[in-house]
Amino acid sequence: MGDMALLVFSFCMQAAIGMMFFMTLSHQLYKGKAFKGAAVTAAGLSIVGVLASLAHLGQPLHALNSLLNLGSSWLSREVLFSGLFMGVAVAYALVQWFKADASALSAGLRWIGSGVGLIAVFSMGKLYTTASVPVWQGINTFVDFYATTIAVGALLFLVLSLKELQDVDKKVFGLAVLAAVILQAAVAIPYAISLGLGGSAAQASAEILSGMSVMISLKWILVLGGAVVLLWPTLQKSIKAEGQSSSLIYASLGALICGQFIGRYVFYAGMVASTIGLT
Amino acid sequence: MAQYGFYFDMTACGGCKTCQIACNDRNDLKPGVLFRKVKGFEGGKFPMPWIYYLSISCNHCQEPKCVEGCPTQAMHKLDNGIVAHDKEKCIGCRYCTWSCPYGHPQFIEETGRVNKCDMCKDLVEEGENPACVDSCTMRAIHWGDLEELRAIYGAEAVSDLPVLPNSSKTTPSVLIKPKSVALLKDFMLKED
Repeated sequence: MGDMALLVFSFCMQAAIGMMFFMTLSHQLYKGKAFKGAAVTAAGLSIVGVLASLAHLGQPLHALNSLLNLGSSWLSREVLFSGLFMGVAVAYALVQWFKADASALSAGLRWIGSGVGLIAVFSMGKLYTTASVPVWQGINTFVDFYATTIAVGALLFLVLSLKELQDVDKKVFGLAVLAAVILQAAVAIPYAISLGLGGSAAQASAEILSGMSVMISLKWILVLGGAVVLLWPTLQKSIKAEGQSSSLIYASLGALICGQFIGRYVFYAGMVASTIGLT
Repeated sequence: MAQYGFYFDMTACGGCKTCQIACNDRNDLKPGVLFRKVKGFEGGKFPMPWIYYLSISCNHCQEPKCVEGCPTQAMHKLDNGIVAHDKEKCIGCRYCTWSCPYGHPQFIEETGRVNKCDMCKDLVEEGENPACVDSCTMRAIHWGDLEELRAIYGAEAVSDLPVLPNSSKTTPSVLIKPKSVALLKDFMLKED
């Protein structure tokens, strides 16, 4: 699929942004802890995302030209905020490893990274919803992107910080992931039903999606199942690294990543742009 | 600001595709790339079947979504209203191919860039007509200042057809004299 580079870009970038968000939240909730592994992973994912976005371009060496239309292009803005996020995430990871005592700098980078990252996700949503592709238009795209950010980001952060978080109250992670995916499903279902009532391009997308019903069902089983499985271990007071609870968290992470990745594949596969005779 | 546009007389067009070929020749386009397309639409049943042809290129919209969304400003509007493309700025992100509701800009694999109709601006600047206009054997395609075209042909011309996206999206600079069957919503795209 030609859009695989965009799939990797959007998925990795949203996962990294979600990790940065939960890193910021965790520093507020649990004082005196360091999350070095999560910081490096977030930086790595953002680098992979940006490299993947370059692979999509016909002229990757001229990629900086994409910043020339910030006044009206949401793609320009997405590139700007994604690039800024990557820079902040890398700087934050370096500070965590080489200047761990610079707590004010760390806090500043975390907050800036979270803010810039969430704006980057909004820019991604805007650029897809303003394209002449009916299946992408509407609130569903925003909810899908933010749900992926929250669910995958929270789980990756939790798994990479299990040691640091083993004796603290973690139910915020379980509840955040569950709320995100329930909202994602609640918006997606009426949206899918309404798609078939749209114009011919929307109906063409609906036809493609109905042919992928097995894949879409699998997505929802994995996403909703993963979120439910996560709830029990995050309600426990303490988690041991090799215990049953941590196994459930790993299983939940696997299910959520697979489910959301399938969902993103479907997002691109269902794309039918408006054209002459197909409006 | 002036706004150049196209006028197409569907009632005169027989679908010969000479305009399409002239455009390909003028722009040295490879097989599979078309800046001007002639599409046939058919419908009805015996004894009342019908068919019509629509010759269409970039509509050089007054509010072009390709220009608004292009991250590099490679897509830009000239003072005469032509939507032009600067290949030096283009990075081949293809966003314009998603933005344009008419599906006009095309990604060219060989160059790694997008390209599109520029209304033969080099010819226009020399006082000549675009290649499609001069090549049409039925004189079905005209070109000029949109307001002048509207003054001449406006009474029976439209910018909206059931096969086209709603003109309120981008305000296309195209006027079409439709066949009556082109206003029917029950159509099928004719196979080439």
